[in-house]
Order: sequence, then structure tokens, then C-alpha cells
Amino acid sequence: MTSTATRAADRTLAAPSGRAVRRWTSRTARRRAEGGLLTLLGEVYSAAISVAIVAAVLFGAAEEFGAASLLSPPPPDGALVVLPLGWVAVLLAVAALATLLGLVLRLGPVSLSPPQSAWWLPLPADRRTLLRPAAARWPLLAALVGALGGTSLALALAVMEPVGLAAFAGLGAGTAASAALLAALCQDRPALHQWLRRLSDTALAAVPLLGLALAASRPGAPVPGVAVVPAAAVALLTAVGLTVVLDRRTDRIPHAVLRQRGVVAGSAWDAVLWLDTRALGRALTERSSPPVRARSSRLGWLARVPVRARPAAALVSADLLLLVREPRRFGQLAATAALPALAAAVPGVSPLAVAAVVVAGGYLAALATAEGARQGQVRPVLDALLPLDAAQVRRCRLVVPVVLLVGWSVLPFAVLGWRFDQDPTWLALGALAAPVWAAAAVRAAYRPLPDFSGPPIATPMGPVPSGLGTVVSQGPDVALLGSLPLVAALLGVAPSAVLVVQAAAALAALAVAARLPAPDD
Amino acid sequence: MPSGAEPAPPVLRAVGLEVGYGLPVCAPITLELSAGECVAVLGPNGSGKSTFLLSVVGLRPPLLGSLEVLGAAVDERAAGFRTAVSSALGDDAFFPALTVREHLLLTAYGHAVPAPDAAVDDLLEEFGLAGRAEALPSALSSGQRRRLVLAAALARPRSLLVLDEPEQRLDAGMRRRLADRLQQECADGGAVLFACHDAELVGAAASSALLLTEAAAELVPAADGAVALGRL
Repeated sequence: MTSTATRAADRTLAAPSGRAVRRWTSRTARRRAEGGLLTLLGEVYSAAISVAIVAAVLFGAAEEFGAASLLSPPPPDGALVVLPLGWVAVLLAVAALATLLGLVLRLGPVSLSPPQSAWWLPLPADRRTLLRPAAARWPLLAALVGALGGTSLALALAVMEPVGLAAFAGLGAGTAASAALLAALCQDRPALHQWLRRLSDTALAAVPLLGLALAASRPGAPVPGVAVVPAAAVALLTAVGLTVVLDRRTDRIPHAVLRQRGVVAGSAWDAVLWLDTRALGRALTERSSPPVRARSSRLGWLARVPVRARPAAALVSADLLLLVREPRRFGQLAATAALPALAAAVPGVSPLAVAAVVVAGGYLAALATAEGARQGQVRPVLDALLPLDAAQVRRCRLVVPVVLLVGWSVLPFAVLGWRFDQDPTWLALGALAAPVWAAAAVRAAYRPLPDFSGPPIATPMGPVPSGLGTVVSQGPDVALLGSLPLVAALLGVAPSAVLVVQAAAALAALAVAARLPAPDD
Repeated sequence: MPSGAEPAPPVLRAVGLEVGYGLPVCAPITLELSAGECVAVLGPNGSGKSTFLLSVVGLRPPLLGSLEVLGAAVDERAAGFRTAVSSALGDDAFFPALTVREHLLLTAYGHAVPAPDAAVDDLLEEFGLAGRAEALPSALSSGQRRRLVLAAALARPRSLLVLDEPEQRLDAGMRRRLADRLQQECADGGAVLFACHDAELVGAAASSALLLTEAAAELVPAADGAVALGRL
């Protein structure tokens, strides 16, 4: 073996550029790639068709939204909260932007896969040209999503002229790309990156509350003005400026950050391929709590519980501590509690739309409370820690979600009761519907992964594994079926007439969620 | 070699260095490692050996204290640092479409090693990978992947070689050759820092040992370190 490798300090290196390293790697890998140019063209064609289909569906829905907002009746006299449909579109756009920002911050946006980090980053090649494609990926994607979102917003606001549509598309593209670029520029400053992540999460949770505050001011319908054109120009120019700045600063992003974001992106992508929303949530959850707590809980209340009930009480306490120590879950509960009130504030809104929002809000709120069950599913050893059988564990996991959801239901159902003839029966209906959503969240937490070993079924979206629908729908199925009595009440049946049925539905949902799968499932 | 009145800075200097994940995982470390020296980092599992090495290669910022490589603060983003520091920290990530030979060539080519083909051929032979040179990573055993990572750390110029438990997944013969390699590295003027659980490798290759515990970080002669390793 030669010993030429040592004493780097004595050598003057003429290392290749980052771009050359990148190209050498891809050229070498391509030599044994199975697909050729035709495969690449096929993939580009598929992607373009997918984007076109998404755009067509989105634009169609937005156009209908715009037509409905033009036809919506004036708010009833004396209504305390009024939210014209156009504002709902604006709020949805803000929520989409906050979601996009939160996503790109978690996935990087600049990241490298583990092999790229391991083999490229230790080289003395310049990182500016090495990372250029990785840095461009998310801003370009964000610009595309932003353009689609901006155009949809314009259509939802009944803007039809081409200049207006183009201005909204430009505004959306510029704003979304700028957000992604800003996220990338923060990657070498962990504190700023974390602050921005919290800001995007808070903004997303605040959208329904913001909507309520807006509705309380009884605004008129939003009217897109001529300011959209200069705003679009500013947004696009900002994106261009940030692109130049980012290109000069990518070499400041540390190796550890590029690698860690690449691992997160890989886990998130795997979760998407497995259609596992639980794994996706775990991949995108940032551990931001401090490494040390001021003190440990003494769990003193467990000493007052009868000895026989202590294992169950300990499990419930663990679930509760898990929730209490994740403050963002309370943001999720507050935001979802505002959704039914927000839906009820829209003049002329169809009862079916209100019902959809109420059920979706309840299920989303329940998901915030079922973290204990999700942890138990991914690490079965947690469920086996205490002297409880599997059925008892499953029942204990229902306690925190049920209790919290019943409490959560008071506010939204008080609003619905006030909206629908000031009938207090709605409160009882809400308290009986809440266990359904809690049970659905626990059922979703314990659902198995899809079995990809079976024969695939041909669908218009491509081959999917058999039984996929059965697995993915576990949880939402109970939420939907168990809410049917409530939906009937929202569609016009007297609430008192469905109370008993709703109670039966709640019991059935709890029984389904507590049921253990057969051993061979 | 630099000349002048000022002596060359040590390859590695750590003063009161605390490393960890929010909380320090071991006692503060003070260490100087000069060219031609080989220090083994020893301690029980969880004593902070790997975390210390991660900080040395710039992948985890220190919590407290100072850490310098070749007289400059550790900054893995600097090309000079990446030229000077070579590491194998147990990363098991490979390009799925590149062969064993191509992984080593990428490293050699990226560091502008003269005659990279010959250098790679030598390494393939030395690490028993010649028969697997054209294999993709998915066709390698865990021991072969480990040898590939070690070979890559040696396929490039360096002033400091940082290895985390290099003896893992290696057979006895390969461990002996590794010990010879580390000795040769120091004889050639390089510096080596490696975490280890193998008393024989420590005794054969290290010039001194850094014993890490929660209470203290103590530099001892290599022979004492090898003995202490037996008691862990």
C-alpha cells in the first residue's frame, strides 16, 4: 500500500468542483441504470399529467367556490358573526402557505440523502455547486404549488380576467418560493430555524381563530384590487433576490444539518409510500423540548388509587403526561374547536358542509389526544410494561381521548346550539358524539400497515395493494359512521330525536376501538 | 513542514471540552494530539466516546470549552478542514448504484489523489475487497461494508485520522493489519484518534489512551489503558 495519503497539510490540492463530483457520481451510476432516456421521458410525462389533473380538479372546485360566493345570500339581520365565503378562501390560502412553510422547514429544505452526505460532504469540493440542485428543489416545487394555489384563490374570489389570474398565480408562486428560500437561508442558524418552525405551526393553528375574529367584525366580501399586480411583482422579485442570496450561502449549511434533514425527508417519503400517516407524523415531528425538565413528576396521585387499579391508572397518567408535555396538541384542540363555529358563520352555507366540517374537526381534535396509543402501536413493549392484558391496555388508551374530547365538545356544540334555535340538547349530542371520534383516533392509531405482499389491484392511479382501502380507512370509517346521527341532526332532524341513537353509536365505536385484532391479523 | 520560530500547533487541541446532547455525556476533556501520535479513546458504553469523536470531526457542536484542529476552530464547512480530517464513524450509507471500486474512486478523485486507480487497487487488496471490487453495496456482508468504509478513510490525504471502533466486524487477521496500518500512519507523520473496545488493538497501535467516564477524562499510557479496558 502506498503512504501517499497522509500529510494533507503539506499538499496543495486541486480538488474537483462540487458540480464535477455530482456529475461524476450520477454519470457512473447511470451506466448501470435499468431505464434509459425513454424511462426518464416517461416519468416527466407522468409528472406533467399528474400536475395537470391536480390543477384541473383544483381549478374546477375553486371556480364552483367562486360562483357560490357570488350567489351567497346576505347575512341574516342581527347575526353576531358573519364570514363571507371569499374570506374562507383567503383563510384556506393562508393555511396552505403555513403548511407549506412548516413542511419545507422540517424537510430541509436543503438536504442530502445519507449516501450523498456520507460520500460527498467529506470531500473538499465547493459546496455551492455541489448543493445547487438540492437547494433549488424545494423553492421550485413551492413556486409550482404557489402558482396553482394563487390561481385557485383567484378563481375562488371570482376573478376571471387573464391579467388578474396571472397576477394571483405570480403572487402565489413568488410568496411560496420566497417562504421556501427563507427557510433554506435559516438552515445555518438553528435558533432562527426553530423560531420560524414555531411561527408556521402557530400561524396554521391560528387560522381558524383568526377566522372567528374576522367573522366577529362582520366584514364584507373580499374584493381583489389592483394592488395584486404590484404585490405579485414584489413577491417574484423577492424570490429572485433570495435565490441569489441562497446560492451564495449554501456553503454555510453544516454537514450535520444536511444529513439530518435528508434522514427526515427519507423517513417521510417512506411513510408516504407505506401510506402510514402515523410514521409521517413521527418523521415530521421535531423534538424541541429541552433535554432536562425542572423536576420530575412524583406521580403522587397514583398512591391514592387502590392498588388493583394502579396499573391502569399509571397507563392513563402516562398518556396524560405525554399530552400535557406537548403544548402544540392544545393548539390543535383550540383550532379544531373553532372550525364548527367558523362554518356556521358563513351565510348560506349548506348544512352538509357544516356537518363535514364538524365531523372533520372532531376527528382532527381526537387525533391530538391519541399519541399514547400511537406510541404503543409503534413500540409494543410500552403496552407490555404493566401487568395488564392487551384488552385492558386498549381500554385504558381510550380514557384520555374520550375525557378530553367530551370536554372539547362543549365549546363548538354550545356555538352550534346557539346557532340552531338556542337548543341546549346540542351540548348533550356533542358529548355523545365525542367518544366516537376518540374511539376512531385510537382505532386509527392501532391499525396495521398495508400488506404489500399480496397481488396488486389495477386502478386508474396505478397498481395498489389489495386490502389497502380497508387498512387506510381504519379510524375514519368509525368517525364517519358513528357521526351519522349527529349529521342527521345537522341536516334538520331534531337533536333530541337522535340522542339515543348517538349514544348507541358511541358505545359501538368504543367497542370496535377496544377490540383486539385476531392473532393472525 | 512549516518553518520559523513558532512551533507548529498540535493536530488536535481540546481544552475543557464538554460534549453531549443538551447535557454533557462525560467529564470535560483536555487533550493535545500531535503529529505522529495515536490516542485511543476508551470507556464503557455510553461514556461519550462517539460523541467526542463527532465533535472532533465537526458533526456535533461542543457544549463548552474549546476545540481546535491544526490551530483553527473546528469548522467542517471549510475545505481545509475536510482535507485534513479523515474519519470513519460507523456510517453505513452507500450509493446503491456505485460499486465498491467506484466508492473508493469517488473519494480518491474528490481529493485529487495522484494516480487514484493504483491507490484504489492497493486498498482493495489490503482490505480484502479485491474479489468484491465490482460488487454493489447491497451484495456486501456487514464486515465487507465496514472494510469499505475504513478503506475510504485511507484513500485520501489527511493529517488527522478519526475512527470510531474500527475493530467492529473485523476478523483477527484484519485487526492485526489495522494495528500495523495505524502504526504506519503515525510513522508517516499522521495523527490518529480512535475509540476502541479491543485491548489488543490499543496495546499494539496507541501511544496513549484517553479514559472517559462521567467523573473524569484522564490521559494514561496505552498499556494502562489496555489494562483498564479489561476491567470495564
